[in-house]
Formats: sequence, structure tokens, C-alpha cells
Amino acid sequence: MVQPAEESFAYGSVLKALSRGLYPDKRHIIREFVQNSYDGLYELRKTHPRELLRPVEVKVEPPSIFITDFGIGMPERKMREYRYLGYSEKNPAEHAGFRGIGKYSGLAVAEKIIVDSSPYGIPKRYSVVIHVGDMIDALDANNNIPLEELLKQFTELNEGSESSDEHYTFVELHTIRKDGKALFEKDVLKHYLTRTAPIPFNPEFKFAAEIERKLAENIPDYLAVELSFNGEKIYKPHLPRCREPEYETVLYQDDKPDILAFSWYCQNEEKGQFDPKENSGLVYRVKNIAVGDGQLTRRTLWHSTPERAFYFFGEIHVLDPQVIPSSDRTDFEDVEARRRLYQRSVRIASILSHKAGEESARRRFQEVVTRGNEVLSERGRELVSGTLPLELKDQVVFEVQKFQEDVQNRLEKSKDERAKNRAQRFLSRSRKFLSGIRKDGRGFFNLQKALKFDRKLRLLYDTIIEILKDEFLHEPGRLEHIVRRIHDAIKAKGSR
Amino acid sequence: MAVERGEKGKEWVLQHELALQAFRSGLLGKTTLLRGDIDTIIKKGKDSFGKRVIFPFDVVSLDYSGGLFYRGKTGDFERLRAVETLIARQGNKKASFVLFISCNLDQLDPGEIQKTIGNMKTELTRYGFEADEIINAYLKHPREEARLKIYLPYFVNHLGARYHYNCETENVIFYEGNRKVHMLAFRFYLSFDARTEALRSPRERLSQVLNKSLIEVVGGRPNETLLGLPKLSPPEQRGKST
Repeated sequence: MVQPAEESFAYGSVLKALSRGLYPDKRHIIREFVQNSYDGLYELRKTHPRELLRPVEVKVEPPSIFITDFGIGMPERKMREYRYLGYSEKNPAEHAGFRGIGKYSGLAVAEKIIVDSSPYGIPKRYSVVIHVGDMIDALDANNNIPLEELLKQFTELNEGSESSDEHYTFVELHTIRKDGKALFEKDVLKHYLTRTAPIPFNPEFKFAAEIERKLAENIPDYLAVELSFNGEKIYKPHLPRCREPEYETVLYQDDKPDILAFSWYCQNEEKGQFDPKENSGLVYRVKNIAVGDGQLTRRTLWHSTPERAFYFFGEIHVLDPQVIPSSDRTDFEDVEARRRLYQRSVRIASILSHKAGEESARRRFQEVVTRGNEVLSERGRELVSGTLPLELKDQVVFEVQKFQEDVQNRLEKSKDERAKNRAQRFLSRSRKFLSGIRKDGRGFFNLQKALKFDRKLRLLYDTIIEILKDEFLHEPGRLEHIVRRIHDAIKAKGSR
Repeated sequence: MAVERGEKGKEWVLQHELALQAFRSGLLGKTTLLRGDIDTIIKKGKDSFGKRVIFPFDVVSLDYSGGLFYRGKTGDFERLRAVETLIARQGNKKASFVLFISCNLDQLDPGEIQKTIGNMKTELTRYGFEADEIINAYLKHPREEARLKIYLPYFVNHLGARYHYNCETENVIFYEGNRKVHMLAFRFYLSFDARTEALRSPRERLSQVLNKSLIEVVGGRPNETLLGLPKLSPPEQRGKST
């Protein structure tokens, strides 16, 4: 077979497709560079553990965006390779970004990608410029420029001197194009980074220190890097009205100790779902960088009562190196390891669902006892003041009995001693109440006696009341309302 | 805020470099980079990408790589107009500030300088000074630094007064910079004072400006000097009868 000289197998238009197709959500592009910063700091901590880790900085400064770090930096070879597409020596087990395409994500939004890096301990500064705008103009003129030629022609590498004390990587996405202008919405980008970046918890979150400690204990090489957004430190979101955190470990197998994932969660202190819902739910994290959001765990782990997913907020840190985030980190790659993760983590959803159910039951128990006590007090006051019509006696008895039954059922299931004591007190009080009114109807207002109805009038009145009771059997509130209106009307006419 | 024009056609190179230096100094988060010509930015209130300049400032440093008397397309002295616009914008915000201006001796306009020094003579005479000798000394001095030493402070003082500022001028510094370029550095403290709506004369007397020595920096060492220029005596010291 004869091959033409210098045959090319990859062409420039693949760059366009890669950069545009990989990141329909432009915010992911910034996350890619933050990931690279994370990796730089991770390496610095690994190789020089005594070095202070300074915050990553993201600065939105139209027309550019800067993503900077004082990580390990990149030596010449790595900077040379920076211009390669798809080349990466990063280890997926250690590094957040490893495909070698994330850096080209900037193609989707910027006219130039300018990277300066000074490697640790080397008095040099290397600079790579990717002339994206020129590249795209060339591709627009000719879609079939060989990729090799395109990358060679429109990227450059320069070298300068730098102090050996310095180590950093400084990225400028220069002149963001029109279709990337959404990145200048600082609040939106900041909000996105708080929810996805590998940053610490807000020091104001009362459980921040405890959770960070637990994560460090249970996740090898756990790292949270500080991030400053336009000069302001940002933190993971938290929901302040929450209970103490709890922790769950997901194992690969029940009979082996190897941990597949480690999770923490806090339940809502108030009733039901957190409000607002947006920061609630559990979020998967790999290398402390979010994969998807609370909806992903809800979809993958909650097979029943999915609304209970948002009674909690927290994280599931995935430790299995075979579970690999998709390029846009909205999910995991569809491989066997993912299936195993989801299957083994369903246990977390069950535990949380059960807790949520217990909590609902506990609250409902409290509510029922409270309402029962309120009814007893209200009816008691009416009896003392003589304003409770005798016609409603059966209804009142039935009302209190219903509360008794409900409370009794919940009492048997409850494990809360305080709630049980309170329920017992209610039952005792309600028994006394019923015994009091059953004896002789004391306290009820007898309209017939008050108005001295004769036998025929009593018969007529009793008949009407019987019919009303029958008619409004399932609407006790309406019955009460009508009886009271009758009483009021008769009293009013009688007083004239 | 930091301004960088960059080189024509490759503006991004120096602008990127400025941002990188801010980052290396730990100032990136606090720095706003404005891209374009400083005089145009001051005049328009925004940079070449439309980013607005937020006044007021506590310190403004106009580090010109050229002379003060650069003329724009309209024939105006662009830099001097920019200084005026700056003082006006600061004055709108009622803000006191420190102003540094550095420049070289390029593009001098002898006509403008002479006219202004002529105005100084008129002013001095009006206040009873014998100004001929001293003004002639400045006009004829072999060094341009001598004339600029009084020109710019006089200019800034009068502008300042127009916008309710009292101006204090520090000693003018001059030195030989890179490639033996003659450089001057001016320092002003403009304090806002709107006790009256009516404008008043500059508080800093012209005599103070004239009599203030320069600082020449040679080999890194500062030396005070008047470059052989005479000092202005107050009218009473010359035994004038009242």
C-alpha cells in the first residue's frame, strides 16, 4: 500500500468540535482551569509539604478572566506539552484533571489563552500563548488544516528568567468572545464556583471544622484549597439551620473494609425540606470537586420518597479511582464502576429516608399532642364560660377520643421519652375531661332549658338538630358553626 | 487601578505582563487593569474595552513615558488636558488625593512655557515683587528642568484652585533615567476645601514654588539644588517705603 508523504490523520476542525461540544455550559471551562490549579497545589503539598498553600485566584476582569495559583508550577517540558492536545501524564487517581483537553476548553470562549508558569526551585518563567482567534480565522478559511500544523503555527512557547523562590501558574483567558460573555456575570460564576470548586467550608458554618477533620481522616490526600474570587474568599455553601453532621461509609463489599465512598450529611432542623432547596441534597465529589449536583444523587440513589433527598445537605466523596467523572463533570462515565457506586450508595439514601421518616413521625406526634392539648383547653374554657352548646356534646367527645386514639398509636411507636411523657400527660388530661363531661353534661349550655321549651318545641328542635347532625356527619366544623348561629340568632331574637 | 496601553498591535503583551506582576505581588485581587491610553481613559472615563473608571482615588500616579506637552490630533496638549480632567473628576467627588507626575523632556513647547512664565511675572509684579531678574533667570537657564520646575506646579495649583483644591507641591526631583533620558518627578498633595462656593487663589504662593529647591538624584543619592537660580525676596526685605 502506498502512503502519501506527510499524511495527516487529524484536522483542525476537531478542535472546534471538541471545545464547543465538551462544554456547552461555559462555566465548566473556568472549573477546568481551577482543577488544574488544584492539581498544581496538590503536587506542591505532596512534594513540599511544608510550603504554605496560597489561595487560587479567579479574577473576572473584562475583557479577560484570570485563573492563577501558587502551585508547583510547570517546567519547560510540561509547558511544551501544554500546547499538545490530549496529552497528559496526570494520574486520574491523584489529579482532578487528566485528559489533556481541559486547557483547550478556553478555545470556546477566548481570543487567546496565555499561560505563564514558573516551576518550583527553577529560576525560569515559561510562557505559552495559544492564538485562538487566529486559529479560528484560519479554520474558517479552511476547515481542513492538519491539526499538527494548526497547533504549531498558532501556539508559541517563550522563556524568561524568574526568581527561584517563585512558583506559580498564571492563566489569562484573553478577550472573552461574545458567546462567552455570560462568564462576566460575576455573581453567577461565583455562585457556580462555590458549589463545585474544591474549597473549604465557610468558617461561619458551625460544623465546618468537624467535617473537614472527618474528611481528612477518611479520605486519603483530601485537600481543600482556598479560592479568592475577585479578591473575596469564597466557601462551600451551607445551610445554617441544620442538625449535627452524621457520617456514612460505603464499602466495595460488605465483608471487606475497603472504602468506596465516604459521606457526611446534616439534616434539616426544621420540618421537611430545606428552604431554599438549591443548596440541599447530597453532592458527589471526586478530589473534592463536585460532580453533578443534588439532583444527580436524587436521581441515582433515591428510588422512593425522592423528596426526602432535600431534607438533608452533604457530600458523597468517591474514592474509587475507577469511577471517572465525565468531561463536563455533570455525571460519571458510564462504566461498571459507576454502576457499583450507585448500587452500593443506595444504602445512604435508605438511611436518610428512614431518618427523614422518623423525624416526620416525631414532628407529627408533637403536633398531634399539641393540638390535642389546645382542643382540651379551648373546650374547657367554653365549658367554664357556658358557651359550649349541649348539641355539640357528642361531637366534642368524639373529637377528643380521636386525639386520644391518634396519640396512643404514636406513643406505642415513639422512642422519644420526652414526647412520650408529654403524650401521657395529654391522655391523662383528656380522660379527666371526658369523664367530667360524660357524667352530667355539666358546663354545656342547654338552650332548650334556658328558653324553657315545652315538650312540642323540644321535639321539633331535637328533630331539626338530628337532621343537621346527619347531614353534616362528615363536616363537624360546619355543624358546629350552624348550631352556634342558631343559638346566637335565638338569643338575639329573645333579647328584643 | 493600573493602566497599560501596550505596544501597538501587541497591546495584550504588556497588559498581560502588568497583570502578572500584580499577581506576583499578591495584588491581583485588588487591582483593576485598564487597557488603553491613560489620557484618553481619564478624558472618557473608561478604557478601550468600555470599563468605567471609578473615581475618586487616594493616589494617582501619571507615569508618562514622554514629555508633558504631547499634542493630540486636535492640537491640544492632551496630557495637560488629562491632568485637568483628572482634577475636575476628583473635585466632583470632593476627594483629597496625592498626585505624582513623571515625564521626560521630550516634546517641550517653548511658546507655552514662556507664556506661562510670563504670566507668573505679571502675577508677581501685581503682588509687589521685583520679578524681572528671577523670571529672566528661569527663562534663560540652560536646563529645561528649571522651567518645568515652576511650570507644572503653577499649572496644577491654578487647576486645583479652580476645583476647590489647596495644593502643596513637594520638591521636584530630576535624574537621568534609562538610556540617559532626563526625567522629572512631581509630587502634589491636593486637599479638597469647599468652604466657599466662590473660588479663590491658590493657597501655595508662587514665591514658595519659586524658592523651593529641586532634588537631583545622582548615583542614587539625592542632592538639593536650585541649579544656580536666584530666590525671590519678599517685597519688604528690599526696603520699599510704604
